Amino acid sequence: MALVRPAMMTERKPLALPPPVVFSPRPTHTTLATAHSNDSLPPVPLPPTPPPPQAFDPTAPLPSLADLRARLSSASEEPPAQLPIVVGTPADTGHAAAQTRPPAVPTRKAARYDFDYADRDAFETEINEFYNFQDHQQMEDGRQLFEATFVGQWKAAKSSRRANYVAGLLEHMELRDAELRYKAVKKLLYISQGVYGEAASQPEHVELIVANNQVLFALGTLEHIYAGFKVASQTLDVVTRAAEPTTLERQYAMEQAISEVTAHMCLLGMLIEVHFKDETFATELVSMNPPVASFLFTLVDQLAEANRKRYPVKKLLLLLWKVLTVSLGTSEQLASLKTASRTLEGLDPFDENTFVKSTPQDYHNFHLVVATRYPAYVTPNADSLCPPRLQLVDPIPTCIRRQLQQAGVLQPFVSTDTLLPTLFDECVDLYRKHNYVSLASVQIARERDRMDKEEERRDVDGAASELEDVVEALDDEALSASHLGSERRRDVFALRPSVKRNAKRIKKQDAVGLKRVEEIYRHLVPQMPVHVGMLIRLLYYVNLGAANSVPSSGGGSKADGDSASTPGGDNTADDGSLAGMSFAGMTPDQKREHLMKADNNRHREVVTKAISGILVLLLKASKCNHALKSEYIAQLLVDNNCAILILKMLSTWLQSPSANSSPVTPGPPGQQNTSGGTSWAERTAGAPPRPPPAVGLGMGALWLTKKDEPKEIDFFHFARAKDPFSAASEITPTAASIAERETEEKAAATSPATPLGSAESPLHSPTGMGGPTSTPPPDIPSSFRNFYTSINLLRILQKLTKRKTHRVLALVQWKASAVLKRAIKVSHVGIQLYALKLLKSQIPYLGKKWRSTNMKIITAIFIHLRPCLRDEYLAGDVDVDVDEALAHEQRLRAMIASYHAHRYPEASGEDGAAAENGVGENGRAASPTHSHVDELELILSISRRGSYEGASDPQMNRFAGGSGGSGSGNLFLSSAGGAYEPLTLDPNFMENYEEWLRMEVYDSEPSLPSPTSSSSLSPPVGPADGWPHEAEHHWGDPIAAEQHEPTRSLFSATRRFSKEMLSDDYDDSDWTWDADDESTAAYRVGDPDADEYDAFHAPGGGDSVWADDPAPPGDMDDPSRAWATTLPMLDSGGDCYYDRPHVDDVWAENRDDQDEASAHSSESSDSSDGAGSADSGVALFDDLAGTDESASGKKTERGGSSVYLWPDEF
Amino acid sequence: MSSPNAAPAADTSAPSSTTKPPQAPPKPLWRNRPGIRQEDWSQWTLPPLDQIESSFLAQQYIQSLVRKDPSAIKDIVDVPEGQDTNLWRYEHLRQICLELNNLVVMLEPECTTETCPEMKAQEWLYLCAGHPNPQQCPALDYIVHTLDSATALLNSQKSFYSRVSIPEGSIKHFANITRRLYRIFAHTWYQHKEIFQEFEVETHLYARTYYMIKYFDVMPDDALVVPVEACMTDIPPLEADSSESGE
Repeated sequence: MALVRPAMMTERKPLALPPPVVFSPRPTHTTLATAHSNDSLPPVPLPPTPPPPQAFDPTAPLPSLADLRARLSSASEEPPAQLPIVVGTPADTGHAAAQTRPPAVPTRKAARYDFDYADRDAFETEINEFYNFQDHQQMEDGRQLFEATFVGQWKAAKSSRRANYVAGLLEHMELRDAELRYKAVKKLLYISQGVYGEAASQPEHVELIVANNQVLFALGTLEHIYAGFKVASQTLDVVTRAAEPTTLERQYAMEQAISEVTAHMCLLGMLIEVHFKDETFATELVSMNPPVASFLFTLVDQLAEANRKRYPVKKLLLLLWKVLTVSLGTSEQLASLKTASRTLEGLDPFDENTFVKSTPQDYHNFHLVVATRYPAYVTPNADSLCPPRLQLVDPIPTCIRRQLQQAGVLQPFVSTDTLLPTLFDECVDLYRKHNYVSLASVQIARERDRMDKEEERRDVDGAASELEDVVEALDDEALSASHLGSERRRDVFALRPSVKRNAKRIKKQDAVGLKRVEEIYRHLVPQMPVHVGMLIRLLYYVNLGAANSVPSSGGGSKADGDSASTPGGDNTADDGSLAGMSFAGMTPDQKREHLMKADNNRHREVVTKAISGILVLLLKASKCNHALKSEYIAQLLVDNNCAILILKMLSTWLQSPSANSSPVTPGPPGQQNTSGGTSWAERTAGAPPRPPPAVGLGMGALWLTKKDEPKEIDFFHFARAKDPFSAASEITPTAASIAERETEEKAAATSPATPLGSAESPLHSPTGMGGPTSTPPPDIPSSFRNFYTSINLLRILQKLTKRKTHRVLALVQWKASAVLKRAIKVSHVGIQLYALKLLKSQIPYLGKKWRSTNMKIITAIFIHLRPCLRDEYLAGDVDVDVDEALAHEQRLRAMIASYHAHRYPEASGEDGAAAENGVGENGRAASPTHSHVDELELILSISRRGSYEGASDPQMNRFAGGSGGSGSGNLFLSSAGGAYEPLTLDPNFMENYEEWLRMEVYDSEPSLPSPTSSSSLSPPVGPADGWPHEAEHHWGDPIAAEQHEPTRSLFSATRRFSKEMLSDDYDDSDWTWDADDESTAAYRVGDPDADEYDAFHAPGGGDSVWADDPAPPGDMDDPSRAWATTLPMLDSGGDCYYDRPHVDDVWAENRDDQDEASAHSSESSDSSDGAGSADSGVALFDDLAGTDESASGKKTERGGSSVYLWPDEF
Repeated sequence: MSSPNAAPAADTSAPSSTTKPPQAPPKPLWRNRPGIRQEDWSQWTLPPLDQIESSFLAQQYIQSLVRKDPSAIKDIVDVPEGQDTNLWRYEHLRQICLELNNLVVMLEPECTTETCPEMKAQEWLYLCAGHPNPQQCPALDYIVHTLDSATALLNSQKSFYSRVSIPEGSIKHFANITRRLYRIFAHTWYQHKEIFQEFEVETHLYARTYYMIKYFDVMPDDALVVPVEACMTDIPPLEADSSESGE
């Protein structure tokens, strides 16, 4: 082969080295499902290292070769095992070599949470969460009624007798008399609750519950209950809309209606909980008229009405969540639905284990670049990678525009034996091997095709021709319906032959599932904006509502116990009365208040959990059916500021424990979330504010760890109690609190008590942090619902912004990375995973400086996330074209609109427009008659057409719809270019338009809220009540306010991003989510209002730490600070922490998270007093080891504490 | 009519010549042919159950029994050997729906919005379940809606897609349907007693329904608001429990 003789020019055989042993971890990425596998990351197997040399004994005989070999081979066999031994041997103490070698097993693991992501919590917990403290009375009523009418024991009765009894009750449910109905429902409820009066123990109780509910379902209760529920809701609706709600009878009527509704809901809840996995149950739920899910959604919408103060919102949302889960499917079912959808399109099912993905678009880019730069080489084009006849790729994507402009390389010759050099061949092969065609891209491509064809047709003959739509529409529902013989009009359409063929390949079960999703979606679509808007609003009010931060006057629970006081109010009231009081010493009233407060707290968390679950379900399930459905929901969410809300919530929750530890004051809204937990912390016999037990457990610990709640608010406890209502007056301290008090009586500060000392959870032993031979500490008990919520919210955020440049840019602008970085510090892979994903999508826009300061994050991304074949997020300056991104976004919206207009024409009617307007999309009231085009609106909308709003502007759509002849009042754009159709204007207008323009447009600029102000999120609120679940909350006020000042979506404000945001100066270190929030103004030191806040976190009173040292180091992410092991806090500025003879020293020094620092101080300048607080609130068990309070011992270990994901450095 | 014809036809079809193979007797058709006289209407007798082959076996059998003697309650309602109980119940419910239509016809002149503005039976007021949201309907409307929805349910493809077997999940509908149909009787008895008695004497439908309820144990006793004497005929005793002899 070689033509030239000299050796160097011949092809040589490469050296025959043995193939290298791969020590890198097997390529794998982390998913939510694998997140909770019990091992930690598989430890990186390190190459065998020789054992450290023993002390050299010159007089010993030299080891023979055989000895050496033996030693070496044994060393290579088990390097990891050797290390601990080696390190521990006396011969080696202090040997530098041992210490520098990174251990094979991480020596210090942060304690992990024991949370496993699942679709729902344990059965009993779910039931506990469903009921309120106030429901107990109703339960008791049911029991009395039952025992009065049922002779003998339910358990012992024959099934026929039971059936008869139930049948009698069902009969009663169809009576007109509401009283009788209510009694019947209560009795049924008692039965469904397991006839707890007869249950001797909790397990038996649970069994009874399950058995009874199954009996009830078998007897057809669901139908009756649903019918009754509808009647009761209707009554309630009528009553609440009544003119004067304040008269006594009306109020009584309303209370009656509400109790009836509550009872129905409880019954429905029990039925659903027991039949969670039951297929027939699911079928029945969906086949009701209307499907239960959509009925519940309409109820949610009705919450927007006034006078809904005491409505059982939590139950409604929980019901909705559960019903959606059952109707749409659990995670596994959804996964198989996805596979079925893919099969329908002719795509192969997606293998979860693929490690690297590459899309046809990526390949196409590669192909283009190669074609441009190496014109001599011809790579196949992307068609081979896509499904046939479908254009999946954007022919000339802008991201590689720059590359395409580079001139081709002149090539001297072309080798004739192969078309492509090996390099390119390999590239092509790689792309092909890892090619993944996503279902969404296929569906969107088809939709685009359809849109284009429709456009053409419209141009030709002015009206879409139905027949061709029929032939070309991809109709999953038609297909799945054909399995079941449905007769909707569309279903008769001719299907594309390929779809028909594929249809036979999917399982019947999946077809049913897909059909169900479609069914529910169809019912939801007409009011979708309202539904989504309501959910977001609820989410907001529960967590961050402006009312929450304002303390109510006089707190306290109402006498009738039906309404609970506001969280804020409770806190103020309780703080004064309960601080430092032992539990046993509380008066019944105060105990009751405690319970109320705990109940309230739980209520908020549960509502948040429900809403987050609902949103995730909606997004996921609709995506399984068709990508554009999911995109529609995502679009609505984004427009309702969901993204920023999520970020805010996460920011308040994921605080470092050090800042959140004390008893609460009504300061920052976010603190409310932890109040329920920490209130128990006050119950000590010891000195007032004591260190919170949750300290040292890492970021967000208080939010995420299992909270000990008083058992009294639990359903099961109530059922067990002998005398439930006297129990209120002598609430025995739970076992947990006893344990806690005991631990408190020991040396207080040092006990690393578990959060709130729950007796079941093991105390975290300090030995966990001791040394390499220790076992990892037991898992921290986690709060399922909070974890679930957090992960869900992250998932939602990720779904919203995935692959959408415009939205990612919005995230960047809002400095989401600050929050996400905190999220990464939580020691649970589930949360970290999604935070990493979100960060990965933002990295291209964050600038070089950020990248260099946050290498740890990038490492984690690399380790855990599935890479793309062409992963360019690190590739330096990205040419960000904000306009392009915006255009992309608008195209997507137009596509969504068109899809819905095509599929659900009846949905895009007057109601839709009105609803959307009502939500505040733009503050204009929809004109009552849509049949004529409103010229004013028209002109305005034309002027706005460049913005995204134009795309979904009802007026514009009306215009487009009106002149396009495709029906009036069309909510959705019938075509993206509709604005350009010819129109005739009123001649009068035409003469005077200049005047009009001046008046209308130039003089009254709609003011855009700044992206950083949250004013749009906090409309003025009426009375200073918080949002309790059944108290005087004036729903009316915020709603009315919203309608007066239209809440502009924050998203809109960012429609043009400033380039400078994306410069290298991106700095999220001093950003805090709270700093800009006016409601948190009280944080700032020096602010006169901040006194109470100071009291809050300055444990010893006196000058707060922050006052002394108002500017703790700002740049938390400076690696030199964060990870320096020997950064002693004792140096400069450290003294102020230590000379207080306080028990709080320990955690005072841990209060080091920069976010907190900057949140609570007015400036966050970089200060060099390295108060080692640079190490942000990570698991610091070692700090609490033993009774060693000396700073130095702690300081040196501080840096070594490892967040779960970070590779150890020391 | 055709059945008696079938027998002689069978006879005459016996071949006279030795070479023709014997023809099978033609299947009897129990139908009313065009031109039939009123006294001959549906005057066929059915052979015993096991000898009939038909997809609508149960219905035909029940109907023929009813036609023969409406007051032979036990014969009509009791489940014959070898029959699927659920199917039997289903067919009976169907039959009741069919016959109740006659009652509605009789009620129509009497039960108007003025006389009965709500569905009432001895102080019990009912909500009409035939709508998406249960609501109050005047009595006749209630009756008509209930009958319509019961009929629709019994005919629905989803719940009762087969005439030879009943799916498990649909059995619970029987109780509902029975309860609602019962209310029709209840209302008629309490508000329009003469019509009830006139109807009952002719068709014994209530007695049959009552017996059926007892036999299959569909409703508890206290839900049977109509007094027993409304049956106006002897109710055959049930095997297991104490007998309910009529008035």
